[in-house]
Amino acid sequence: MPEHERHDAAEGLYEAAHLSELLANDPRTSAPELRVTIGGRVVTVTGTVTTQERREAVDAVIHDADPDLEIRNDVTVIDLSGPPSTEVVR
Amino acid sequence: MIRVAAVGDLHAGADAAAQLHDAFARVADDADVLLLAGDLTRTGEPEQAQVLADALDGADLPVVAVLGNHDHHADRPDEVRQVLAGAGIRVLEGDATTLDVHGAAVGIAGVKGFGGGFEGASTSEFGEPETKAYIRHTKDRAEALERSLATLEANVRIALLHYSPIRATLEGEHPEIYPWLGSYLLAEASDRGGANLVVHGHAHGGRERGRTPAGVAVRNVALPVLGRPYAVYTLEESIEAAHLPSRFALRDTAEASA
Repeated sequence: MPEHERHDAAEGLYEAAHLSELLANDPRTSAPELRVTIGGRVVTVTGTVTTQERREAVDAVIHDADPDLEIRNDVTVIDLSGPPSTEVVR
Repeated sequence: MIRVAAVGDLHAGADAAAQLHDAFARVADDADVLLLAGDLTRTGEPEQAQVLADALDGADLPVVAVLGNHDHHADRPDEVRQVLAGAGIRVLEGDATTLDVHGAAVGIAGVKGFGGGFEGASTSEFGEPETKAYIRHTKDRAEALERSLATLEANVRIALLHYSPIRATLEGEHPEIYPWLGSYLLAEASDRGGANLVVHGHAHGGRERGRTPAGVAVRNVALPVLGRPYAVYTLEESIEAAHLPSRFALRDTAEASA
């Protein structure tokens, strides 16, 4: 791998890790459980939250950190209105 | 038959008040007791705990909880406990409670638990003070769990945790972070304490079902794992416990002296 590509890949890994830290500590998200990956200038976030507001906060936190990143927000909002699951435990 | 509703990682906050209220609207029809497996709030602010307390206000069934790591983030866990207790929610940490369910004594022992990893890939109480303190905390909580279980006089004993006692319910998470998700010491404490069921949360990317090394059912009830407001587990009074000898054997001692 050419040196500049290796450097770009390393920068992407470090930035993904720093964004994970931000999503944990920014009070708009407070979500250390979300997963962040970066390919090129595209950041993808996966995981679950309980409100649409918290999902949208993911975009805001990342945009504030690096406005040049393209954000793929694949975070899903859990539906709390459904019936419970049931199981007989033995 | 004993119907146990359980969920963890609700991460209550003002923005989720309506959803939480709807989620628990029928829980007293579905179950005899509701267990909350930690991470009840987003960041451990008492105001967030109040949102959950309000959502459960009027739920006509016993509610028993442990706190999780999120509930400690604001360094105000005692205030969070007070808010929940004010709503009639029994918050356990190194202690236990016994409920009468249709004439059966259902014992619930609760601890938050902590990390350290699992048999064959666990951290030891060795080296820097920070590492030793980390593992010492896990050992302390595991011992509290075993003691609490061992003292219960109950037909069915449930261990209520936030951190996981086994690997199996973490599958789906990155293996690199397993040591931050739980510890085998919690499984050993559950097996030695005579638990019939172990419930935990914390691992959003894990899976629901597993068993301790001695065969006791473990359920990861983290909300993202369930994908539903809660799970309802039906237990028979004859459900098997591990019957491993307890290191404390308080229950055996009490029975022998009776």
